[in-house]
Amino acid sequence: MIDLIEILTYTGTFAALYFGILVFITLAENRHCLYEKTPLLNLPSVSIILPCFNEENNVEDSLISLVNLDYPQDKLEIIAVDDGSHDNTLDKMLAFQLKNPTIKVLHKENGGKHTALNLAIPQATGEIIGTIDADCLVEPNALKQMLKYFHDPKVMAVVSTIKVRQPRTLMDGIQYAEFIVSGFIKKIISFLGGLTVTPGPLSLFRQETFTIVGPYRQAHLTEDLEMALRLQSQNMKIACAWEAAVYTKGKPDLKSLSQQRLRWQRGFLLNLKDYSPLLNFRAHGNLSFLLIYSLAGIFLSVALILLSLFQITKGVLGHLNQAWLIKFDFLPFFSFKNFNLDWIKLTPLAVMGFLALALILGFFFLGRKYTFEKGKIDEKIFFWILLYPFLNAFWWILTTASVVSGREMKWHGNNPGKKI
Amino acid sequence: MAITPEKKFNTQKYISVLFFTLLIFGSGFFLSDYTTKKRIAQLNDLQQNLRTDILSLETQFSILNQAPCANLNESTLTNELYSISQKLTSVGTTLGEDDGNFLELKKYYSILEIKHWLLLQRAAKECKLPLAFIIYFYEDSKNCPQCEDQGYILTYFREKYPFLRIYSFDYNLDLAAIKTLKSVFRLQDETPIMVINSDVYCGYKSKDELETIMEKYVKLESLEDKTATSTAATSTSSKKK
Repeated sequence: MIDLIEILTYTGTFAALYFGILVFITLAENRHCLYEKTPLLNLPSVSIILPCFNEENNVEDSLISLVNLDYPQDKLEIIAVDDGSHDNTLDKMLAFQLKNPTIKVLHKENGGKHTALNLAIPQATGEIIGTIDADCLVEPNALKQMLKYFHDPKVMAVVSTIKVRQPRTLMDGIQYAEFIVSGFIKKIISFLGGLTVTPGPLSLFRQETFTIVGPYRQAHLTEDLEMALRLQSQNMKIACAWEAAVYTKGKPDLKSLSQQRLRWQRGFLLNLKDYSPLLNFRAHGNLSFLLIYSLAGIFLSVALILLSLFQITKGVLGHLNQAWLIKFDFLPFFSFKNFNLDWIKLTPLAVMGFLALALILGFFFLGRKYTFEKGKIDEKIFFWILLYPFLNAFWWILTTASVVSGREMKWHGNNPGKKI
Repeated sequence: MAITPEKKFNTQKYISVLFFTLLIFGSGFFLSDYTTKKRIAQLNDLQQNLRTDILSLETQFSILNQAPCANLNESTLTNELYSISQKLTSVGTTLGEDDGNFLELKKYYSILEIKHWLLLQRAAKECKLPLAFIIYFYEDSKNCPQCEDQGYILTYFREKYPFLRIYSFDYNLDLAAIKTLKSVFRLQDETPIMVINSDVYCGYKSKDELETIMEKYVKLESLEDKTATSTAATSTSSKKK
């Protein structure tokens, strides 16, 4: 068993290191174009669609952040869509509209987020169409920063940098660190043409994109992921704006976080199955490499975490047994003469573990630097490092079980429009 | 649409990445290999230490004959025994329990233990040292599933009772001195085995059982003096089995 762990650790570390170096080399190659510097001379007209289902607590804040965007009012169209909410979402939208008459409010029977987006897209008049989630707040300069990327005529979509809003709890902290790292990696991957999601929190598209590729689909409850894969399948360019931050609410507890991740990961696997030609190396180069790499990475990380859990459990049970043997009388062991540093051994496994840790911390700190993140670093980051690998492996196991069993997933609480 | 320039696979770049990965990965291996080799290189020092300690114990025996008790430096030797056992455990983990070099060191260590035990037994009698002794025989976990638990309990005893000296021996170690011990105490093949004052106790003994047994020979409270040091005889035993 130890040998298997060693083999997996070496393979996993090698793979992680390879990816890390690929990231750093790509970062170095693109160091002069990390941010779009082309000035925004002609401001295009922009329509931003805000689909909502049971978002009475969030919709107002989200609308406020949209009207506060640093953008001329006559060029900004905000379309709020109520997807048949059961709460006061629609009333809140209408009340807000009274104060801000430029905002359009649409209402429809509940049908899911993709149907809400598809209702609004044909009615949107902007040259650029944006989508935003109802629990998100946009930084005032985000829109302008993102629009700069459309300077390149090949860019069909631009994604923002998602951050967790006011991380207070442990769960927030875990998601905060995760989003910082994923934000960093997303940008680097965009240089390789490998983005596989145009996230719900804030993405912009050229209006003609939807004419070419068609409307949103249900897509295993991950319409934002499917849309990106669809763009990729047609070799459309997706850019990432590090400098445009959108703040989302972290999931408050493990259950809701797990539900969300299960939906994302399940959507990734099933959509990838639907878009399996993207794995064709000749047709999609870097993208197919990154997709195959991430699939292998999932397998490796799950196997490694499972074996580590087995070892940890064995160790804990062993210590419990020892505690039982001496009737929990540990006092004699607490003496200075027992203290020695001999246990710190520079084994290959320890070195590899250190390398992996350095890599992940490197991603975190670079992510903070490049996304201008100023929030203070606290102990939650250590919980992220400790817990996240286990949580992630746990989610992948559940995801695989869900995909293999073919069980259909439902939106949270059987509410088809609710974002979980 | 044709493949975008970003997506184009740059073989040269990926090979460079592989080169750097191999370089860093290799350096990591080299670093750990270097420290392991350094650790193994310490084996010679350890062997030398063991030889010196054996000689030292023999000398102390001679001194004890000439000037009983006056120059007995028990605590230094006991500490040395403790330190060597820790290093030996570490060597066993690094090299593997079946490694020839490790087994050779283990033999040296066992001889040192026997000599230490003989000296202290005599010193305890002649110099009225308040010491108690347990000789412990163990086997590997295949032959003796309970030896690990017994070893841990004995480690606990050693820590709790500083005047208790515990000497652990691999029952199957190919060493004449151990074979002699086995025949002297007429041991049966039923590990774990503990010898306390020439009485042989076979089979696993729980903490409470062992305390009851020990009370027959010595007031356990008298072994609790915190100013004394203890051997680390079982620090290897709990891991060696």
